[in-house]
Amino acid sequence: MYRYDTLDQNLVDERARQFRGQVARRLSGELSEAEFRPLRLMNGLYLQLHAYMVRVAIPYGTLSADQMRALAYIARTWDRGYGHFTTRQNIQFNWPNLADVPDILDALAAVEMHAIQTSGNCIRNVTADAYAGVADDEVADPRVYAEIIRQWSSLHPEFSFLPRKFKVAVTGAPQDRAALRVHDIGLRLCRDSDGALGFEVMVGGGQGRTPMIGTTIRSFLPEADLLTYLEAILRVYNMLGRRDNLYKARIKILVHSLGAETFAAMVEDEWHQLEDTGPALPAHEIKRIRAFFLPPTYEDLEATVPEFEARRRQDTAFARWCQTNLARHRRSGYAIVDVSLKPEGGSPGDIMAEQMEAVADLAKRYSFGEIRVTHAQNLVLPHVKLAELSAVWEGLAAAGLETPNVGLATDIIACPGLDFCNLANARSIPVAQRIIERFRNLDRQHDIGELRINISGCINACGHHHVGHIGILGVDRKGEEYYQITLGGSSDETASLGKVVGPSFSYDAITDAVEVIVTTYLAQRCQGERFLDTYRRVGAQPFKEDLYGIAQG
Amino acid sequence: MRLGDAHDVTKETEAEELIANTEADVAACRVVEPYAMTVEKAARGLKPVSQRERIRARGPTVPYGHHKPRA
Repeated sequence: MYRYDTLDQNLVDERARQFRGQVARRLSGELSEAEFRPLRLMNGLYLQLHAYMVRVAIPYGTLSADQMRALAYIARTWDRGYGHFTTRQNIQFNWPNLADVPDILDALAAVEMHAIQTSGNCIRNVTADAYAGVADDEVADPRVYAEIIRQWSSLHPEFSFLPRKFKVAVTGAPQDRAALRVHDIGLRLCRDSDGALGFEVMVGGGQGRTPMIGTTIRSFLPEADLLTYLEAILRVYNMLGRRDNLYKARIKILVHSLGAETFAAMVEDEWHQLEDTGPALPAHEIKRIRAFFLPPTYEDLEATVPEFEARRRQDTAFARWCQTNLARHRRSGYAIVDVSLKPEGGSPGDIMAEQMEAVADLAKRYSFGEIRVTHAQNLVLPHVKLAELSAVWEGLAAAGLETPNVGLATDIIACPGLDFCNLANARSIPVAQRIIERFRNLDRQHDIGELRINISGCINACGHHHVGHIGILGVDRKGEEYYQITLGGSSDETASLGKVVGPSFSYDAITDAVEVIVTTYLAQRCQGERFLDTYRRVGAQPFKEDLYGIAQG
Repeated sequence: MRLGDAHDVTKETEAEELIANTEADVAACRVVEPYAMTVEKAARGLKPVSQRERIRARGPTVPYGHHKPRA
């Protein structure tokens, strides 16, 4: 993992000290809320429906065991004993007192963390494939470049007041686990015909009220040119992005209005001007950063472990968990473990302080002290020996973290919704809980197969409903909650936006509607088809007919 | 401060007056960003009309941390 140098640490410490002074001035009345607002937002402090909320950056979703322990300490000491992992691989604390926030920032700084650039019209926390460095289909480790981008974008003076917020995602694998095409910039590591490393560069993706799939504007960008090219994109956006209309201010609107080709040409022009003056990325700097992400000291292990196979044969619960919560590790004898944060009765992404500590302990003992956060609001233990999976599963089970549902119907992405969020129009969490309860039968979930149900409580789409196979969007109808359904969305390498299937459903009717959709899929599917495959083959019509009882056009 | 302690008014101008009267509390940091919301009179006092304000008044409808929602 990357470790702070003196520069990083000083920056974070100084910011925490500065914010302590700002909070004191706010509490004394010297600063009004209007004056304090931009200052608190620069430190990830939002004012939500019931209380302040601190959003903590987890760079490219990578946490050490010690950092996870610190998050548990914060949750227990200054919040209400839990935290909420988000679709941006961050964590949010929902109930801090304003007076305690400086202490929270100090506690974060002590473990090389902060809440800077988790709000505001700047380059936000860079996200990445949660399987970075361990996926067996990986070309190169995206964390190296995510860290370089983090350093370049942190307090970047030119890009601290962009027309709107700006999100960058990076992956090193052809299989997209980082939702690249719905980010302002998506970067996919690849090699050219000579084997040189570089990036496919996608721009203009995003969700929110105007969802768009990002367009590739460069199929291969040499790695040495990463920062100058990013700088060129940001410059064009900063100059031409709409500052007059909040809803048209994202880069996707600019790319769409100019046309991707024109936008790309403007970026190339700008880029050529930056060739000599832009931020260089020499090979020795890449090498320096790469050294932080070298693989841990793996053992040479057999690909098959008899005791693991035996337990899998004998213990149905363990076998079920292995079926959904393990992914192939690039190293023989190891597995990637997904830890589901979607138990029945729970809130997607929520985790108790004790559970954070349990995960930290397991990471320390069995996964080289490393933890990842996924954009699907789950956690990952990235390097677990096959021979130790039994022990990890038992440890997770003791903490109530053994839910065997990753990628299935109950592995629901949901934003905090109207229960917590000031922007939301409708609740997300109880809708997720009702659907999880409805589909709790594991045999049925396995029969249904891979299904992504994503729920957002408003059009801002923090719950990624546009890219859910089944997307659910909460809307307000005269003060009451209704839910619009979209079908056919996907955030993977075949990215697509869901299409609205028809009129919205009431809070009490939405679970039944999801059930109807699943039943229609099961009736329509061909051998081996996932929900998304079936939808793409048959289209929306059968679902409309079953949902609304009439054939709609 | 609870919803039961609230003043209810029927005219927009009266609502504006209520908000204006919070100036001292805002300056003293006892209140942050006051605003008027629509309520109806129920058997047990005032009830917010919108779901948002009902949740704001009563807290989240789902368990969180060690907390359970009010019945």
